[in-house]
Amino acid sequence: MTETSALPVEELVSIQPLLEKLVIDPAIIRVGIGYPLNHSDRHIDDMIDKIISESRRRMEPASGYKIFNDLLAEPDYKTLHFGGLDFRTEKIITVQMKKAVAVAVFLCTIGPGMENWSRQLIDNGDYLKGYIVDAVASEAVEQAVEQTHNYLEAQMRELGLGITNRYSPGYCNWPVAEQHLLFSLLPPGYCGIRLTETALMIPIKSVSGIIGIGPDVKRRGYACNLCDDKQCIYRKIKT
Amino acid sequence: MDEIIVKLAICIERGKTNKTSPYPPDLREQDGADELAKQAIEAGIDANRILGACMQGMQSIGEKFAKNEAFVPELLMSAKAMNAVMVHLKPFFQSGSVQRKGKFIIGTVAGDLHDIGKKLVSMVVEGNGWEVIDLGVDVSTDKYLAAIAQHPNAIVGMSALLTTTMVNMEKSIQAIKAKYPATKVLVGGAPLTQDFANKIHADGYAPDPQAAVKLLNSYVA
Ligand code: B12
Repeated sequence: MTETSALPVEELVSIQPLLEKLVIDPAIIRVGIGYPLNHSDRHIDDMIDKIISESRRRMEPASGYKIFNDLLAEPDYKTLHFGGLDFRTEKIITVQMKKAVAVAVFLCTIGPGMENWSRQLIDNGDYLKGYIVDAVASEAVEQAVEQTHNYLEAQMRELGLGITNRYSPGYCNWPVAEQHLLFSLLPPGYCGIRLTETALMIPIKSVSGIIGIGPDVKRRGYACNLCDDKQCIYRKIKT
Repeated sequence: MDEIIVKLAICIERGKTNKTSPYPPDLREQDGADELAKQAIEAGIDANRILGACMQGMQSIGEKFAKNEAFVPELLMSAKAMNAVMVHLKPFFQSGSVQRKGKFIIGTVAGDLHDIGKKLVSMVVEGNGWEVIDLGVDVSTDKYLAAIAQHPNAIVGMSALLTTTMVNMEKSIQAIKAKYPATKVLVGGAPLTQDFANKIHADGYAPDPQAAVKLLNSYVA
């Protein structure tokens, strides 16, 4: 197939997500800090708006991906093979990837600035502001991931290829401990992200994952119905 | 004199920390918990009554939280107002003329560095009249044990962000229960569930700070 032969295989593609495109919806932050949907309080809303505008200068988004074209879904749909390694991605994710012919392994972070700011505020007794900063940071990194996903989508479209949704270790029964395997496919400290022995990424506001690539795959809207996390804020917002 | 006490309880419930704090808007320019506590002490009001008023305010906001009329941000604002009072009450705690409900040792488990959830719980628990000993993040079993040795009647809380670190709770709980069978351990954090808490023999699980307060209070009731 000509399209897939043009893929930049095993090359690092580094991206700097644009700050001005990190559009943060205050409604998501409200839900993120525990309010029900449609709840509104002027004081809180003002605080959220101020923090969102001040947050831009505290973020240093970085992301990137590497494509592997040896993707194979085992017939039992429990294991995905790529980058010469076997991943226990389990059923939900493996099934979504079965039509893909290649996979992009991505990392994304907004850097440590926001979590440091949040910690400082809380340590100074400004609990609520610190809490809001944390929620804004979580949403900002999601937006940075979204930009990365969109970038890959545009690149692949030029080659006549589609992409799937994104999937992360720790979600949909893919053990979070497999972060170690995933990280072994990227250079150490890539995007400024370090992995602890217990598979925690530092800075905390970071996301890792995979995106399938192929002529017959499609990206769909956020698929909460696939996941089983009943408490997740995204489910509360999207459903 | 009673007016100060009544106002103080309201300031705690509404999260009015001091005169300059703009929140809540309808109490703008009025004295907050900080000023009222100071006035109460100067007026010679028994520190136990001052603390009692605060507890009443915290209980009211807690009840609203349980009924979905208040949310985590409101709990935090009340806790902040409460902590302003605590500063004035400190000498009374030190002299022993006023007692707290008990001690709560909290930490994020070994291998984990996520601390915001744990801090939010600490704030609210402290605001509800508990002395909180925060051991920080990446807390080893030995560190928990040493803290319990220092504060024998304390209740222990553990927080985790990922399933990889959540499993370290089990090891710490086993070691604590082996040495201090009577010590109660509460667990919490994003990946936790009541089922998991039962499985690792934790005494309790709480999904939010208010539920943690409720559990803690039930142990000393
Ligand atoms: C926002 C979010 C993110 C954000 C921010 C992360 C952060 N924590 O700062 C981003 C997008 C960066 C992210 C990334 C990841 N995430 Co995430 N994320 C969440 C989400 C939706 C909310 C977590 C949060 O920040 N809550 C707000 C804070 C304030 O709450 P909290 O810490 O939970 O604390 C509250 C309670 O738990 C409780 N509490 C806390 N401690 C204690 C202690 C005691 C004693 C008590 C009684 C109560 C208590 O009270 C607190 C206040 O209300 C959860 C799902 C969920 N609904 O919880 C998943 C979740 C935590 N993430 C998950 C995963 C897998 C990841 C990633 C590994 C994905 C990936 N591969 O990239 C990464 C890991 C990041 C890292 N650094 O390693 C999983 C973790 C489970 C697992 N499998 O290990 C979760 C649970 C989702 C799921 N159901 O699978 N995530």
